[in-house]
Formats: sequence, C-alpha cells, structure tokens
Amino acid sequence: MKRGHTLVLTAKLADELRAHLFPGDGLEAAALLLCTVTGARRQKWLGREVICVPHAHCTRRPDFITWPGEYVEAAIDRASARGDAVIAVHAHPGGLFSFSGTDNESDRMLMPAIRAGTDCAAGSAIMIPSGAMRARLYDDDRATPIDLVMKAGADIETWWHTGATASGPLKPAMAFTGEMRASLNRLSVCVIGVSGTGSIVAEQLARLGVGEIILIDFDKIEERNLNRILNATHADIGSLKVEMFADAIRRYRSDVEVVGVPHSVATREAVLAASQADILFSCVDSAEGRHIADRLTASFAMPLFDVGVAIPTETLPCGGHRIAEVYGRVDYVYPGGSSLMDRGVYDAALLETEYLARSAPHALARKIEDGYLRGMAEEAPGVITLNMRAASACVVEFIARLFPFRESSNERRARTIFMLAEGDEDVFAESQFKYGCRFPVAQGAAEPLLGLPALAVQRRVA
Amino acid sequence: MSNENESPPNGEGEEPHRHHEGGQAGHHHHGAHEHHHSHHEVWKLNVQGVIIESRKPEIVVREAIQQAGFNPDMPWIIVLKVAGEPKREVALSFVIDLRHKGIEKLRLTPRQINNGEICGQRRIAFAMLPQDEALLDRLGFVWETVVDAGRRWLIIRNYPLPPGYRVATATIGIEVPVSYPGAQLDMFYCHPPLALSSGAAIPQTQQIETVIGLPFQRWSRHRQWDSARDTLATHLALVDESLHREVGQ
Repeated sequence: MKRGHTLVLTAKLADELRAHLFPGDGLEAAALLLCTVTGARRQKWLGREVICVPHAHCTRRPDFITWPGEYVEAAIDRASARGDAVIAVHAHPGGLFSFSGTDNESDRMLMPAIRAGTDCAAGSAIMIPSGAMRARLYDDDRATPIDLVMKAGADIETWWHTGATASGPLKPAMAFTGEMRASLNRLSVCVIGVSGTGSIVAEQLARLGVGEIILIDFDKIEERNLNRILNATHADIGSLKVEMFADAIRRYRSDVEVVGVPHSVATREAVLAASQADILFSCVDSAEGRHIADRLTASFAMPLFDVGVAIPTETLPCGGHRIAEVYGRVDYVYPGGSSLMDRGVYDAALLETEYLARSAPHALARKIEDGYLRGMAEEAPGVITLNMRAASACVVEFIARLFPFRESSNERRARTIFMLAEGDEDVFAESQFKYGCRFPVAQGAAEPLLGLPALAVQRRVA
Repeated sequence: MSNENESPPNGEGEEPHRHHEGGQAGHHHHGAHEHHHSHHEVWKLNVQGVIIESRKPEIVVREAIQQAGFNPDMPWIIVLKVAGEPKREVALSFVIDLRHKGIEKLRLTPRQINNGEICGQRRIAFAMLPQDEALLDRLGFVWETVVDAGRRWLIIRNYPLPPGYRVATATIGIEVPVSYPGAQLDMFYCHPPLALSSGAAIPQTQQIETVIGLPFQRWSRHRQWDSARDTLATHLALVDESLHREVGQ
C-alpha cells in the first residue's frame, strides 16, 4: 500500500468548519485549521482546532475571497506555541473540487509565510458544500497532495486524492462489492490482540482486501489455543501469534502489507506502530488493552471497533450451574465521541485490579476481601462459535461505517449486544452514552505518549 | 520495660527495669504481694523507637521485631543494647529476658548499605505525569518512585502532619498502578504507623503493609476516580484532608 499523507478531522471539527465555510449565502469563506503532525512511516495531520476568519472581515464573492492576514498571524501564534502545523482552508461554494489558478497564486505567497512563522510544513485545503475536502501540503515550494482526508464520526467519510476530479470526489463504493475491496485496499487497519476474536477479525480484514494490516500481540501460540486461533497448526506451537498470522495472510494475498508487532499493546513500540493505521480494532480481554485502544482513538483520531464476548453462568438453588446468557458485544468509538471508559466497558478500579493481579495478588485478594475492589470477570470464553459470531458482527460494523448500507442511521448503533440465550439484540445510540471528555483528542505523540507516564519516552532521573 | 503507668523510657541513661505500682524493686522477692500484682505487669521494650508491650517477661527477637511493625525477614543486623554492657548482636531466635537489669532496646541496622554517588541520586524507577512531578517539586517534597516486589510506589518523605499526631512528619506511600492516570490511585500508606496524641483510634488503618522494608499503615480512604479530572494533585488533597480529619481540623 503506497500512501503518504492523511488528514483526519473529528466529526465535531469538520462540522464546525463546514458551518463556517458555508453560512448559506453562497459566498466563499475562509478558516485556518491547526493540526498536530505525527507519524514517521506515514504522516498524519490531525485536525485540532479551527480558527474562523469572520465573514465580515473578508471581501466575499461566489468565486473569490480576500481575507486579512492578521488571522494568519493569530494562527501562527497559536500553532507555534504547540508545534502545530497550519492549513488554510476555504470554501468552493460552486462545487469546484480542485485548486484554482487563484488558489495556486495565493498559496505561493501564503505557504512560505506560514512555514516561516511556524517552522513546519504548511497546507492548504478546499471544501465543497457536501463537506468533502481536498488538501495539499508544502514542505518546500512544491505542493504535495494529501492522499486521504478522513472525517471520523458516526460514519467514516473518506475523500481520496486518487480518483478525485474537479467535479467531485470519487463516489463512495457500495458495500460488499469489488469497489469496496478496491477502496479497502488503500486503508491501513490495526488489530490489537490476535487470538480468540482477533484472529477472526484479522482473517476477515485480509480476505476483504484491506491494504495494510498491523497485528499487535506479544503472545505465543500454545496447544490450548489451537481450538480458537484461525490458521494455527501444531507446527506453530511456540511461534509468535503475529508471525504465524502474518505468514498465513501472505499465503493468500500478494497485495497486502502485514506488519507484525510482537509486543504488548501497553508499550511504546506497539502504540506507535498502531498509531500509523487509519482504523483500530481492539480484540483484547483486558481492561488495560481497551484503555490503550481508547487513548489511541483520541490521541491519533482513529475510529475504534471493540469486540467482547461473555458466557456468565449462575448457580442453581439445588446445586449445579446453568448458562445465564451467551453475550457478544460490539462497540464503535470515534475520536471526540464517548469512549469505552465512558461506556463503562472498564473503569479506573478495574485497571487497578489488573495491575494488582499481576504485581501483588495477595494485596488484591485482601482488597477484594475488604470490599474495596470487586473481583475480575473470568477470561473471555474460548468458544470459537461465539467468537466468530461476535467477530463477524464487529467487521460488519466496520463495513457499515465506511460504506453505509443500513436503513437506519449508524448513530443509533454505537453499541450492539446480542444475546444467544434470550435470542435478542440490543442497540445503544451514541447519544445514550455520556461523553466525559476523558482523553484529549488529536494530541498525536505528545509526551507522555497517550498521556500515560508509563509510556513516556524516558524517565527523569533527578 | 516498665509498668503501664509509667511513661515510656525517655533516654538511654534511664534504667528501664520493671517495677510495681506504688512499690519498689526490692519488694519483688516478697511472695504474695508480688503475685497479686504480677497479673497487671506489662513488660515494655523499645524496638527501633517503637515501644512494644509483652505480657510475658521473655520475648523472642523475631516476635519483638514483628510486633514493632518491622519485617523480621529483611537482612537486618540486630543489636540488643543493655546498659553497662557491650552491645550484642542477636539472632532472630534469641530470647530476650526482660527481667534482666538494664535492657534498653533492640536496634535494627540494614545489613547492606550502599553508598556512593549512585545512591545520592533519587530513585525514579518510573515516571509520574510531568505535572505531578512539577507539583511534588513545587511543594518541596523529597520524593522518589520505587518498584518493590513488582508494586509501584510513589514515596514522599517528611510529609508534614497537622498537630495531634505523635509524630510531626511521616513518609507517605501511594501505590501507582501501571495504567495511571487511567487507573485509579486508591488509599495511601503512612510510615511510621500513625497514632493520635489523644490515644483515640484512627478508623480503617489497621492494615500494615511492608514497603521498601518498612511498615506502612494503610489508610483506606476512597473516592470515585475520574480520569478526566483526577491526578496525583487531587489524590494528595484526599491525603491531606484525611490526615486533618482525624485531628478534627
């Protein structure tokens, strides 16, 4: 997958930008977008803040705008304090999805000014009334197109440079078609956890044609895993899960890049590798893994699909046990929306519990006994039948967000829980969850990484 | 050692011998009278500054150390000091006869002391948030982060206590889970174990944990952790509030 730059906007920021650029009078308008620039292998520009140039301060026509440079100065001041880059955005109310001669002329003056002011690359972008954007950046005097502009909200909208024309962006592919496959071939997706559900998610992504798959798992294959990890054989016992799975994908795909990251997701290496992807899947059975995924979603503006399964049992009055329910859960989280923590998938106490379980089991037992912490639920069940159902629901959710096909809006399905015993399915809308602003959005790789001192680049030695 | 009505020994020069209420040492040998009182006898011993009490006139060193809240299994050099006698190193199994005249105290010295430049450096075994570290420095605390048996501790020394405790400062330990600040900080720990000057009990502090070889008293103080809002700063507010609450401030 050959791809350079990506610009990601949260839905909130993209909507704010669009509301300002298209006030309804059909005249051009301008704004400045401040971005965190991150990523070594593939650069991501993460929209962080919009500075609106007030309409009254501009000379606005349907196909032309003049706006005062003092707003550029204001943007430079704000951006350089944080090391941000600045993208100058303006509207094309007539729908021209291309930079005009006037735009080129203006960039020749403006881009070097912004570069000199911020000491980093600058960019320019246009938006058309549909909200579609096209952007380019200037490292030097030459414009480099940004390959993908992504709006990450309840729907994941993608505007590609390739295939776009002056009359508009490439039309979104229809779900479940060859066009969808071609579209997915440009995407990079990261799967955290390559075991019970993760191997099944990764298998689907690979077969659907995703262009780059980043697999994160520190674990090795054991004989007891063979009942649930796809592609694993006796010969693989003792091998790293990510290596085994990467090899398996390569056996049926020649047009894929597979990156195996044999580390715990709670490491810098894994977090930085994951941050390169466009989309995140969390297929872990720990609160810590979900916590990292949650923070990746916010910091690097990555839409997240989280899957979990559970088979709680209950004790019968006459002794013996019965199955209380057979659950599968899929949560879709987007940057700036409610997090898994907001939704109660895990909490601060469970994170402490997991830490104590590893470091001081006796202290944990005492705290549970004293009633200060509750015990941990048992490990996710290793039943491939349930895992497949949940992993499939998770990937269907992914398809629905990128290639909407549902009769109702995606906003209504922030969470889906299916119950095989009761034979029912519950859906929860994004609006049903309280957004706690827990994790700062679009911070990129700012230190400490993900806001977690445990992931900081180096410890201070006093 | 002394009986219950006597204040603790206040110096090495004092003869810490048992005696009876209203009586003198010489009366011991007069049978019936002594028996009557011996039920009320409590033998005291100073272990590294902590006064422990024994109902029996003999105590095993290990028990004495444990009772004082120290970990007997740490590599200590254990010294028994008796007035007028050369100091004497004793083993954990040694039985101290508290009736022996002139017993002053049991001292514990770490068997290994590492000196040199490396120890002059503060131990920072793991990072806190930058704003936490700045806060600790701004408050002028001597602090370090240590990993002890896999557990991660922020140790703050010379933490000032409000009046009303038997000591003026304490070492505060706060356990920092690896996922902090996503994971909560919960409770805090004090060394030495704190007691009120009034003698009143402090609720929910019975548990003692050994951290970096020292007995820390667990203060079970809790609140709902919100990772969007809570950090070390808000946790220290809880620590301070808890310490003040017990002395009615």
